[in-house]
Amino acid sequence: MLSSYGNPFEAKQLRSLNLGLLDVLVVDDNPQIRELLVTILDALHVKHIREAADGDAGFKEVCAAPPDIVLTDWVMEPVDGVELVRRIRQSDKSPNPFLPVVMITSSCSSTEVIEARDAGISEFLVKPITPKALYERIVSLVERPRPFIRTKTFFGPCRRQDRQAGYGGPERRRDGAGR
Amino acid sequence: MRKPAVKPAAPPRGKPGDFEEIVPPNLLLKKLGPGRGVDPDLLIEAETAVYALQAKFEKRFMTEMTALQDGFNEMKLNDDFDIQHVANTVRELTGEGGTYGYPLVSRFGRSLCVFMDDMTNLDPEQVGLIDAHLDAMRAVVGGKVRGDGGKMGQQLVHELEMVTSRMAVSLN
Repeated sequence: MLSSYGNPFEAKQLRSLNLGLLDVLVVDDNPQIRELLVTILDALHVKHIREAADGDAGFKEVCAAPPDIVLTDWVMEPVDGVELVRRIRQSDKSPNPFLPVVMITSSCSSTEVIEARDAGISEFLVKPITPKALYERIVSLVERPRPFIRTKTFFGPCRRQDRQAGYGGPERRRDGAGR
Repeated sequence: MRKPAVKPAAPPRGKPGDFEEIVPPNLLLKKLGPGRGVDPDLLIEAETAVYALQAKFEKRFMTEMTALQDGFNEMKLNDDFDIQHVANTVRELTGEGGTYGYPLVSRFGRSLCVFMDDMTNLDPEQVGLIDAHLDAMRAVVGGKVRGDGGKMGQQLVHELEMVTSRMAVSLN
């Protein structure tokens, strides 16, 4: 199960990010998944880890003291992960609408990807959760943050995956459509 | 002579004013940097920590699957099925299987979830299909069939594919 990552010698040429300073909020109604995420984060030397059992409790945590990153499950009762992201991005009470949010989900259907993206998630993490996948998402948030876009109906990280290439998709910014 | 290829017109972009692009300061890099990339030693540390949770997962998985099978047996007796409950339990365990070295649990669980998405009332064949998936998932963890499972894993995959393809034929 153990694996190395790329060329360790090469990777060691530069200092890695100091994750010890991170403050991460884990939002999931399944205590086993929370335990798994906390275990991984702890092993990655993240010192400040908070937990919440649904989107409502998660948003209260965010308002009490904004974390650096939110990791949230999608399906939760009574308030799910998509609603949590909407509140973080759009609520007047939100202390930081630019907060990086990683959405964790069992499904990778295009409908769900689009719904989560339109709610304003920063990164997707499709189960099974692995240390490598989670670590890579965190690094991506740090190294490749996306600019935010505000239209009449959308506010969140730019939804265009490759911003360098010519964009051939629907023109949502002009008509202000959220989708 | 062939006409020169006409470059398709670039799709219209939103004009300034239609949208606002905001580049927030990179607070994460400011806090965690300088530095970049994944630290391979740290990754191994995290993988070791997850590996240590494996035995706990196996025990819980078998307990939850037994409870699920008991509940499903009762539903069969009463001919009153709570498909959502079965689907939710399977979905949760499916997600965890791959994390703890049992990708076949994830594979079988996903296969079952796809079928259950379309189910409203269960006929005997569909009941058999659910039973076959639950049996296969239990056999994977009970028999410690890790990774692709070698011969035993392939046999389980083959048996389940036979059942699901029979089911797909009968649905069509």
